[in-house]
Amino acid sequence: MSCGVTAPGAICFEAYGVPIELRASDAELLDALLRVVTPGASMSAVASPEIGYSLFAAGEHYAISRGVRRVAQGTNVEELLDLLESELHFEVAVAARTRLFVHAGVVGWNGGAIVLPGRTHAGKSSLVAALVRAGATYYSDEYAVLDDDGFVHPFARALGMRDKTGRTNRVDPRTIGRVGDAPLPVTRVIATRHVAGGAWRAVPMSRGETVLALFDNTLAARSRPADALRILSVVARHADGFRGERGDAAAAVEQILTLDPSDQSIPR
Amino acid sequence: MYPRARQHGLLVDRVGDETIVFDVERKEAHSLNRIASIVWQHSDGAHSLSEIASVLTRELDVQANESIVLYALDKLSSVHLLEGDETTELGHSTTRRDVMKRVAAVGVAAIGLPAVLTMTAPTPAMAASGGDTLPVDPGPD
Repeated sequence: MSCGVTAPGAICFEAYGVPIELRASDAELLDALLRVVTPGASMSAVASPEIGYSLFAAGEHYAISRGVRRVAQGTNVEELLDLLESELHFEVAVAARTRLFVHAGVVGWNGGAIVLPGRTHAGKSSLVAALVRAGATYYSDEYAVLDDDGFVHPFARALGMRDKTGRTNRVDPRTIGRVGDAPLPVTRVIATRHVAGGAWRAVPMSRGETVLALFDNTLAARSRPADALRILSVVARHADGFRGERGDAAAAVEQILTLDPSDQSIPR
Repeated sequence: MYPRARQHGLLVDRVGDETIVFDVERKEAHSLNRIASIVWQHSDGAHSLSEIASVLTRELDVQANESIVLYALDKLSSVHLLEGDETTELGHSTTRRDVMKRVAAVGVAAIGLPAVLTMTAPTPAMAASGGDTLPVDPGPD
């Protein structure tokens, strides 16, 4: 199977070395699919798509298929697109060959990147949003995309902000602050998670701990362990690592942005 | 006793004074602190416990003894980073408490005991979903 950029009913692109094809049953849905194209992807003809999804309408219902397998259906196309975006980004993060994906929020600050590794429900998006509102530059609320030199690249999808009901609402990051467009060296790794009513308490991590904190959130930890450890070791050689719990995101922002590694006394 | 570090099936990288080891077979990543790294690097089947202790003394500028080497070997053996089962040759394992008693007077405690942090490599689904992201403090025995 092949997919040209101009193929009727299809969008084709390559993301981090992974060829992808998205198909739709009509022009309006195809246009809607453009919003799930992976950040950093290049639109190009694809000889043999490795990942392929279809979105199609049937009456008032919509459905998403991966190959011949139907993976979701419903009447709210926006919710289905959110799901497709999440699934597609996850698959790219796992299969990526030219970058290493770490599940983490990322902001730029003072010429370097602050990486916040953490899994779903660790409060990454709310913390990233609070940091951006405080003047940091948005890079991602989902993945730190690392190159061989340990630089982090923008993966500036819309922020996924959960409301009190647990529903995720998409927020355009440009409405709350600046969005990064160039790779940055990682200067801080902060492994923190939200604890209701908690107070910010940062403990320095050794370089080895910093590698493990990132490795624990690396999508290709099992499939590309040599690449992962090499790249994460590069990051840890140049970044200061901290771990700890935090309470409200807004309250943690100032402490995070003013962390002074020289105040810490662990051996490096 | 001449301990020998496992060589096969491991990916090894250095970061600062620490050593990062990935066990390909067990899918486990380890971080060895400085003192554990030195013991592991010199566990080549040619150095005795007392010789490794001498290396520690020289490189760390403290008075190290065989107890702390044994303690490090216990830690390394428990995560399968030694060939065979070296530390049980003496018929016991060395606990943190034993070591603290023996090294308190010679200054090794000031630079920290040998420590090995270990985590199982996450599957893609684990890395992207719920779970504890904070590295585990090795804590006391």
